[in-house]
Amino acid sequence: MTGNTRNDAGEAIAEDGGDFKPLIVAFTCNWCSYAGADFAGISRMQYPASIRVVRLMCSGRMHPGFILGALEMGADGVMVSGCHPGDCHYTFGNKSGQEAVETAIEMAEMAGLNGDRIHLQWVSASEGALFARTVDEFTRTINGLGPNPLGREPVDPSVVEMACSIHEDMTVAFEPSQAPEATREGLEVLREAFDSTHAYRCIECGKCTGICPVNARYPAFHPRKLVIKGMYGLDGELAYDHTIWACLECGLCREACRVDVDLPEFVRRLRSLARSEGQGEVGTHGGLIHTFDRLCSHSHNEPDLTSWSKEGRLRFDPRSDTVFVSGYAGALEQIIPDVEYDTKASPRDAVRILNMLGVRPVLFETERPSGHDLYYTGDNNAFGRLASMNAEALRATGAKRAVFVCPETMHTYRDLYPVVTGEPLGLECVHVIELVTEALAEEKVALRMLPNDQGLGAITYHDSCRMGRMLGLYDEPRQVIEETGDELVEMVHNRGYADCCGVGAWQRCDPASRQLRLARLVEAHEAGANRLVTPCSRCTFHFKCQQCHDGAEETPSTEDVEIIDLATYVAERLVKL
Amino acid sequence: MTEEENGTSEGEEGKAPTEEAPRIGVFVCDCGLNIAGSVDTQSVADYAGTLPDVVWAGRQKYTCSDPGQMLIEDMIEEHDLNRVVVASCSPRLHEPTFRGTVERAGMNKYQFEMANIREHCSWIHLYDKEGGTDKAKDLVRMAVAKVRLLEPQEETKVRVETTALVIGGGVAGIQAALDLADSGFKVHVVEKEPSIGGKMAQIDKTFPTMDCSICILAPKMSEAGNHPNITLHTYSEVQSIDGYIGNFTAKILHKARYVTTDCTSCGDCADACEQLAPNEFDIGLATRKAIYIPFAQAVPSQYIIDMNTCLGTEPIACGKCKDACEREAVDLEMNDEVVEIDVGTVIVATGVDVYDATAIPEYHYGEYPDVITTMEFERLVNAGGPTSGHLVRPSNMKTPKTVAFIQCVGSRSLKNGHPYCSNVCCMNTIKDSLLIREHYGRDLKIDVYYMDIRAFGKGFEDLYNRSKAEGVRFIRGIPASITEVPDNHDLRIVVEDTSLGRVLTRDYEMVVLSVGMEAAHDAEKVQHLLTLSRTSDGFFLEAHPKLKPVDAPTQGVFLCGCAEGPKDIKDSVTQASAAAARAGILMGAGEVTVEAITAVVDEDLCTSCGLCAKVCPYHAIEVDTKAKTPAHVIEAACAGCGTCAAECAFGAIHQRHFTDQQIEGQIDQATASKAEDLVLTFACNWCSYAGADFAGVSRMQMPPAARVIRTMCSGRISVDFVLRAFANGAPTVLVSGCHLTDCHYINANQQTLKRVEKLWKRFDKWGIRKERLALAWVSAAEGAKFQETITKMSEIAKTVTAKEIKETKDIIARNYKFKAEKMARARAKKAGADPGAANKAKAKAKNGT
Ligand SMILES: Cc1cc2nc3c(=O)[nH]c(=O)nc-3n(C[C@H](O)[C@H](O)[C@H](O)COP(=O)(O)OP(=O)(O)OC[C@H]3O[C@@H](n4cnc5c(N)ncnc54)[C@H](O)[C@@H]3O)c2cc1C
Ligand code: SF4
Ligand code: SF4
Ligand code: SF4
Ligand code: SF4
Repeated sequence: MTGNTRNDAGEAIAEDGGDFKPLIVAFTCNWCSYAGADFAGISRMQYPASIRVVRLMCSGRMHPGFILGALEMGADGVMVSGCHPGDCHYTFGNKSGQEAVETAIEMAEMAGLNGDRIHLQWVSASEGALFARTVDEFTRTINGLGPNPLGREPVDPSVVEMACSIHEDMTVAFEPSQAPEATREGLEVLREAFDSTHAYRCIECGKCTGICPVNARYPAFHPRKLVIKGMYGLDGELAYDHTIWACLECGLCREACRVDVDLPEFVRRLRSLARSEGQGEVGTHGGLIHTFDRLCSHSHNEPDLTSWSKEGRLRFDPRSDTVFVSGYAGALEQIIPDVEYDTKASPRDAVRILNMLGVRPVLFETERPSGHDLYYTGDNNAFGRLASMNAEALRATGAKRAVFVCPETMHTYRDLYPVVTGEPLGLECVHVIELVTEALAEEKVALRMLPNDQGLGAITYHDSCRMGRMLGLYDEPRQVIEETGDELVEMVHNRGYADCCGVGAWQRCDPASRQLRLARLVEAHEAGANRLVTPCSRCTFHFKCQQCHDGAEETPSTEDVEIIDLATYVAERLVKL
Repeated sequence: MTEEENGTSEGEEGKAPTEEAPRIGVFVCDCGLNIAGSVDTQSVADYAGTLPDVVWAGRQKYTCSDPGQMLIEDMIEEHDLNRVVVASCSPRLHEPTFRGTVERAGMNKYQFEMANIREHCSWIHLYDKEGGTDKAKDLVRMAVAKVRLLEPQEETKVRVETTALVIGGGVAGIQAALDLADSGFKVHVVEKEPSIGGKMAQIDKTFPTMDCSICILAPKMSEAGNHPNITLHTYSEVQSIDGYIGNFTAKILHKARYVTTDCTSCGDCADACEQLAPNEFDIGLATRKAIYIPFAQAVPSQYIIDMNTCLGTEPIACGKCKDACEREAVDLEMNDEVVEIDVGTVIVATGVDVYDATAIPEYHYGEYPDVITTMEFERLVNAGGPTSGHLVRPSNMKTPKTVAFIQCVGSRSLKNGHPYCSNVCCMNTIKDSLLIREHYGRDLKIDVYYMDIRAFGKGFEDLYNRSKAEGVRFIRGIPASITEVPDNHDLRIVVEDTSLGRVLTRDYEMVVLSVGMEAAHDAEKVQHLLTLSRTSDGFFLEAHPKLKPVDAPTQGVFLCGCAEGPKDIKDSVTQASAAAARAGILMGAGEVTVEAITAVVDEDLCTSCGLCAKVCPYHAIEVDTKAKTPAHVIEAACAGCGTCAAECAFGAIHQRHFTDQQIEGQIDQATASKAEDLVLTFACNWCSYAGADFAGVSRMQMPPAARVIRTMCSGRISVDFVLRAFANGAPTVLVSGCHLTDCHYINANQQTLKRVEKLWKRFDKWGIRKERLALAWVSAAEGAKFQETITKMSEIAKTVTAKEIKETKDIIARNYKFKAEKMARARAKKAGADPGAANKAKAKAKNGT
């Protein structure tokens, strides 16, 4: 390897720093900072030619996704500037600009990048000198840090395309007849999609569409017609059909299809097709979750996702034959700070349970995000990288058995990694709830109601798509809940036919998605439950978000349904015998 | 492959054993383009002309046509041919045809052989003309090698018992029994239920003519009950069937009914009985007593006690029925009994079961009271049914105002159901919709949810149009779910109307699931009783789908009705008459010739070790191991599997027409093939060879690697054959036969398994790669499995190097003595002194008395 190499987490080595020309993306607000930069120009103030300015009306337009996105695409540094606090032309827009920068720094560090690559500086219209000085100093900082390690790899073109492509809430009505032809590669993707999902078997019964919770709320998305278009050879229409991004990948249609067409996988492959044709769609929350995962998918970075393990006196043992895979969704808290939910709780409580069952697992320190969301949004490249790195790192722990709490993560490791990496995972995969039911059967532990559970009323259990339809764990959670003596009631749609929480792979959070979430909460309420237990921390998050945003006004009753993580529910009620 | 390398010398056995020198004619068939399209038939014929003892070779467009057969006859005469090879289709199809041809020209028909260059070659290598042509040449060379050694044979005849056994008393079984009985044959009908009648007895009206089902069936039922030539065994089961065509022995279990034939079905007993159970005939929609008659028109018209519901056989426990019966027909001490009958032919008419819709969770059948099946619908609209013909919602016993039918429930589905179309349910629903119209007029709204309406039969489209004219709405799309509306039991359907591409949500008061048919649940039992085969969908496989549609692959056994596949009453009855006619032909003739393929003992070589007798599945070999008398084959009992011949270590027992020399001749020629991925394949006649044919008929493409040697049973394949193939340089060998429970010779393939396992063990010890010898159970329906196996084996063959082959040859030469060598030694010894002579004399003396 030649040139500069630097591990952001560790020692910086600048072998021939002289050649390095930092590239910095600078976001400025229109009223103060952009004007400040103008002023620097008029005054002929000299500063390094390292910055490329992106003008926004207000620094409040900033989103952490922009910052991380710029880094992902190879920028060596990102600078954000706006009006000084109190001077904001939009009262306090710059406050959220500041929050975006803080979030971005936090996430960048979690992903293994040096937070110093991101810099915030308030610059007023008259502070041309300050602007020039800031650029000068920041350029020097970046010079010291060396090039962005990600910039060394060619950027995945589909990621660039995505950044330039249609955003969820800009989705326009699609005029099929105007779609151009698909490219040759696109046709190849489509052919494979047909073969591998058996879509050619479709006998047009329509059950998939009848059961699809998205179609019920957003009829433009029509699963059966996607298959039929493929069969009729309308490839271009498929590649340019933006409705595909509405699919939740929930798997209900697969459950319903009588001839075993794997429709969710078909849609997933259509997404790969769309990406390859430059028709990707940025995921919800500015695509930040996907960007974060992609940042972590580069071998140069050493992300650290173990912060959850530092609290709560958890016991680990590096020699154990059991390793715990957290699937920790760390980024969530940063992204959606107004939802009151501690995402660290789920992995922490899972390990608490394990400790109580007498298991001290290996802490999976080199864990990266599973890539689940990248997979289901059709980003095969980044997913492939995460799959092989995670699988290898997991084997390197020397453990024989991997215990999971996050159903998405378990599904990804157990079902997807072997297919994508082409080799068996090599470890037995179990869900912590399976260990609990085992221990219950052996009468090693019991579950007891908490003193304040008394009189709380019935509980319902939400089968998350991954836990139910993909892992097939329907009975275990129910058994555990009933073990406490709590009254378990079922929602109308349950088990294999349970509706989704409304967000799949963090792609869209649109009106259909919100309606679906609300409908689920209404179902819980109608079933007579005032607590809803779910095994998936994403579901928990989405339900809570629903409640704190629009749930309350529309149907006040659903607000009363308390959302509880399965792991937390169990950990609090488990007793050793 | 040279002879020295075989480790055996062709010596005397190799020579054609008949006096006359062989004069062979080879007839290569184009079969239009079926063969000529992917095999260069002219070059095959030219090549055949160069083979030893071939005096005439040529090609024809259609060998089986009259001119084709005439050419064979002419050439036999002109060139004085005494052996004929036809290279065309499968012997399973045309061997009888050509045997007839050569016989007409004065040849012995056993000196004829076929090379299957269509099913096993041209059809499965459509895109590899060169490979296909090379393979065809190999197949012809193998056939010529065998035909040179074929001997003339005389066939024997066996008597055919003129009694038939019909298993299953549905409309098909009844029809078959009546046809046979009217032709003067005795018939035994075994029905597992207390009454004959089958599904048709439960149906209200029948499409397309809307006759009352029981009104047209009941006369036939009572005719069968009263016919002097018919014996009904109801509430009975066939326990076992032994024997062979013309001479089967069946054991029939009569389950105790606890009511004797003195019963006049007055019903006094049932009035007295207080124990209730769901009525099976009405699918649980009504109840019956513990002592009951299944339905009014039941045949025999005789009550029966259901002991699970009865309070007990102890009269003290209850016995009310016994007291009530004036004819003293109730016998609570009755026992099961087994009767044995001898029959010449068997007709299988075991029908179908109705798909169990509880397996489809989204429709909540069995959970929501107003979701019913079409069978329940039949009972509800039937005047003799539980509601006297009133269609009511089970939830409130009121007539529904809206009814939805859902089609294809359990059919045309890979999940929760079966992949095939059940054939009758579209028409049945159309019929049901008209029945509703008849009873309730147009006020009752009817919607039918379907994917396709299959109205293919005579009069079917008319009925469909009538239903549409009557305002029945046909909506294209299958409901994704049914949910019950709380409080009133209404049923909410969510469905995509696929014509409009729009999801509809509609409420109905009743939903009828148009359930499909599935193979009878005990079909597997019947399958093993008669060593039949079933297709992947569970229905019985016919001997040939077009030309022998009602013959089972087992000779003397015939199929009819839904047991063979889902069909309506008309087709079931048509097939029943066909099966009766086929069975009648056999029984009318009174005897059948059996192929001259039975075993014979060479007393000179027999050491009286008794190995052959041990493996014979038919106990057809007598041998006294103590007295050292040579083995003796009871020809009438021998079925001709050849397992004994493969087992004998001294070559002392032969199977006629499938001798060691003949098969070894084929092996030697097959292994002389140029194909580097050669898979020398042994296939039994009934399953694997038929499976390979099926792959051909289905045009399943595979590499031209296989050279198939047909034996009647895989039990014929000896350790010698396999090792000879390897010693000759074959890279891979495949042994294939019927699945273990499906052997056509009881269980002869168990020996195959043992032999192959033994070989694998030796290979392990000797250091020969085990995967070069494969064992595959391929049924007649598993063309795809044959294709898969050959493809896989040819891949393995490609990995076998010349060096490896050489090593294998050396290993075998060092470690194994072939039978031929032992025989030669034994013969040489005998030429000196004859130690067998004394035993032979003894045996002769014994047989003489
Ligand atoms: C709901 C429904 C409606 C239908 N409506 C019509 C219609 O309107 N018109 C029409 O043409 N067709 C109709 N059919 C089709 C019709 O029922 C069949 O074509 C007919 O019943 C086939 O007769 P079968 O004798 O072959 O079989 P079955 O009627 O099934 O009779 C088989 C008999 O064999 C017995 N059996 C099974 N196994 C054994 C065993 N191991 N030993 C002894 N006995 C055994 C069974 O008990 C049964 O009595 C309908 C079918 C269904 C399911
Ligand atoms: S996976 Fe879910 S959202 Fe996507 S098409 Fe299927 S049912 Fe609809
Ligand atoms: S459920 Fe399956 S068969 Fe039916 S329309 Fe959808 S993909 Fe086609
Ligand atoms: S007959 Fe009609 S309802 Fe029955 S399986 Fe065939 S298509 Fe479906
Ligand atoms: S083993 Fe087979 S061939 Fe030999 S005597 Fe018995 S039935 Fe006949």
